[in-house]
Amino acid sequence: MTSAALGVGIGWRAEIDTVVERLPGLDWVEVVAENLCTDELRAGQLPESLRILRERGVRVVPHGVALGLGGADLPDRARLERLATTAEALGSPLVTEHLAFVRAGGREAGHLLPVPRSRDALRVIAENVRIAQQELPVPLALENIAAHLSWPDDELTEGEFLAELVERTGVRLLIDVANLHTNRVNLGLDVAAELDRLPLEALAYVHVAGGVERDGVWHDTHAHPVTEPVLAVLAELRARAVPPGVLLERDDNFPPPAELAGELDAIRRVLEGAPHHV
Amino acid sequence: MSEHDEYLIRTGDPALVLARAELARKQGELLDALVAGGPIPAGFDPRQVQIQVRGLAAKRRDTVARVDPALELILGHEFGPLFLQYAADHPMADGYRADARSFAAWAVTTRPTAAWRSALERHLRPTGPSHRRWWRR
Repeated sequence: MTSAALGVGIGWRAEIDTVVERLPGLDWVEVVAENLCTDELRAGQLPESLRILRERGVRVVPHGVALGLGGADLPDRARLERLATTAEALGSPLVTEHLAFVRAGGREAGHLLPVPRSRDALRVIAENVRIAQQELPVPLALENIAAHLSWPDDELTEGEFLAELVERTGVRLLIDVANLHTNRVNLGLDVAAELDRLPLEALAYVHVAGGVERDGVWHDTHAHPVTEPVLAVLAELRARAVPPGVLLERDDNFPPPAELAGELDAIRRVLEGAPHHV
Repeated sequence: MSEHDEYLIRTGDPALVLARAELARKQGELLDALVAGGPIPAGFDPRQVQIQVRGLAAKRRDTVARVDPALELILGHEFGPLFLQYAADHPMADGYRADARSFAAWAVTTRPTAAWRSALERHLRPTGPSHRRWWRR
């Protein structure tokens, strides 16, 4: 990245806005782009809490969930324009989205779904990424997703697919270590091999989140504490490259502020290379 | 001329246009299986697809509960199972608020003798969930 390293941050959510403001040593926040009102942003109005954070020099990165760059349709101009407006209003150094499709044939999935990782799909998605990059005022980074199913068409792993996208478009990477863990439990992914396949020189930042295992299936809930295996993946990544930023995602079932602060400290200890204990 | 037509003319790469059409077909078929009860496309692991189906339905249930919290207050522990029953053959059409109302209307019809029925009917009246405070009446 052209900008300085992001540091350690947390996903800003309206439910915990004052908690986020008071977290000690917080370097930056990520905000779900679709949760902000673009009309208000255009009029120069930020949610009060984000305004306070911005004034303190805490950087804000918009994180989109509904663009669907892995879909077969051309990227939606209006959605891209809203994402661009959000990035400009927040003075963000980059915006992030997912390698996923979220709609097809007039239906909405309501969540992120894996793309078929074929060579043909790669050409389409690379073109989508280029179109998005042309419309956005700042660099774009794409995130690996948590999957419950794999396509019979897969010719590449997600890491190889992302590496191809980096090569073809210069897109940056947001690597979610909880999603790598999810895919290890649910789909048998070899996490160490996948980390070796990712071009970590393109790494913009890393996501860390909690989840829960039920009946042998890992659910990436963002509503449970961060577990040891997820921090272990962060440590494996850290052994290969120092991430410019790490962000804790917590979306629901919010714990007391001290617990969130403790999870951020656990992340900092992994980044410092210390043995990590949750 | 639509943006898509302009794209087809501009791109000048028939292989890419075909790849786009093929991707649309494949993703459409999978999504049909995931949210609209369609057949599982060939080659997929049915168990994996079922887990994803349940995951998407649970996400939808939780989102509907968040946009219209009165539903859980009225239906109590019946909300979750009822919503999943509804979602199984009612694909989402017009966003989560419309989904919440459509579910409530379905629940009133499906369970006419339920104790919560009249409360749910009051909740459905045209003033809408955001303007009514049924639990204070």
